[in-house]
Amino acid sequence: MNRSIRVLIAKVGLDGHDRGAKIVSRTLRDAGFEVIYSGLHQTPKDLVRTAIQEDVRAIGVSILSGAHLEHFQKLFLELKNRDMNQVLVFAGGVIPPEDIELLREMGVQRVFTSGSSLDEIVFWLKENIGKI
Amino acid sequence: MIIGDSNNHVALESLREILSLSQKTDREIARGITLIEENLIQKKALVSINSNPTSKQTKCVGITGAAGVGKSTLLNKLLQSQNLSKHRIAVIAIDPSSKRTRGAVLGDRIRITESSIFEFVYFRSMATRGAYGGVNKSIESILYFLRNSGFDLIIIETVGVGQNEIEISEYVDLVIHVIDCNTGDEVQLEKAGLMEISDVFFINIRGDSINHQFVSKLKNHVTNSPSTPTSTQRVILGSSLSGKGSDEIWDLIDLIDKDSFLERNK
Repeated sequence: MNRSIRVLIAKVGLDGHDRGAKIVSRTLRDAGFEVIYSGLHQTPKDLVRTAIQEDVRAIGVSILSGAHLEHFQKLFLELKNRDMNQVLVFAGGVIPPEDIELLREMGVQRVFTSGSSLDEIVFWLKENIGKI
Repeated sequence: MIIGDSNNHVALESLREILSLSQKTDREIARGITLIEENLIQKKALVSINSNPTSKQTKCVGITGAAGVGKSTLLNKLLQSQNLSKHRIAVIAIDPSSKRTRGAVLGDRIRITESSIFEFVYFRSMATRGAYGGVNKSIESILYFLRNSGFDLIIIETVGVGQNEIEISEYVDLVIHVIDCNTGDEVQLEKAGLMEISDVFFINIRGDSINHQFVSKLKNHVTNSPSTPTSTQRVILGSSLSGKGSDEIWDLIDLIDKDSFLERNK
């Protein structure tokens, strides 16, 4: 076997703050994942197309713009339309505590707010990949 | 190895199913590539399970050159300058795996600036997974799989290379070597390896500085080859960022008439 777990780390919408996404990408690389980095300003539709073409097992979306509810709503709609419900979705960024439950209800498996430890992200991803 | 063998058996069954589909979606192609890569499926195994091999010509083009020289950026302009609905194009873009952790950051996709391109192009990022020839151990099988999935043009972007990563030349009809115009003196040009196997030198002019001396030496080099006077190597002076020179590359792609892959496998 010559297996590596493939993960998409993504930025959506009008949000140019990608330091977090890049640090998470490098951390996951160092934990043995193959990380496809989306680059900035993607639409939810772009992300789902990328997830399909790249055959990833998980999508991590970093949002610091405040538009997380809108973007995740569209993302899950698109995932459903393209029959991609088996992909694990997690979020990172500046998310107010009161929105975390709303995101969880939409289908976000885990929200890592700023200040989360990198080890925690790696541990969680390894534990949960392939579980949905 | 028993576990490996049974996994291969399962993977080959799935690949047989995918290959037998007359229309394959991105999802099936993506799954097929993963199966090949994870199980190191050999080309001959794919040939043996493929009940309906294609006889259509598929052109294969390689883009190679040093890290950061402008390979993906050129690829972006190549794709932008074409009417993509004319072709069915697949891109394989390779970046290095870590020797320590086996992880990788695959970042070639971000150079494609118009997301509409992905509606027409199947784009797959791949890691080297321990290969050191500039490509990936599974590349031959993946090319076979893509050829038999209806693509008529396959573009492979290698990892950033130095002098000795020339494996790409075994798999493609045209090697485009993106090169900076400050790449050394004429002795560098005489060296074997990458300089020898490049079909096209695409000199990527960045900013205003053109090293005219290098350009004329390279042009002279490709037209005066003592041992191969019919050398077809050529030089394009262009820009990955502006796309200058990409029309010339498309002309060369249009001129590909032999099918190296079929010839090699006769």
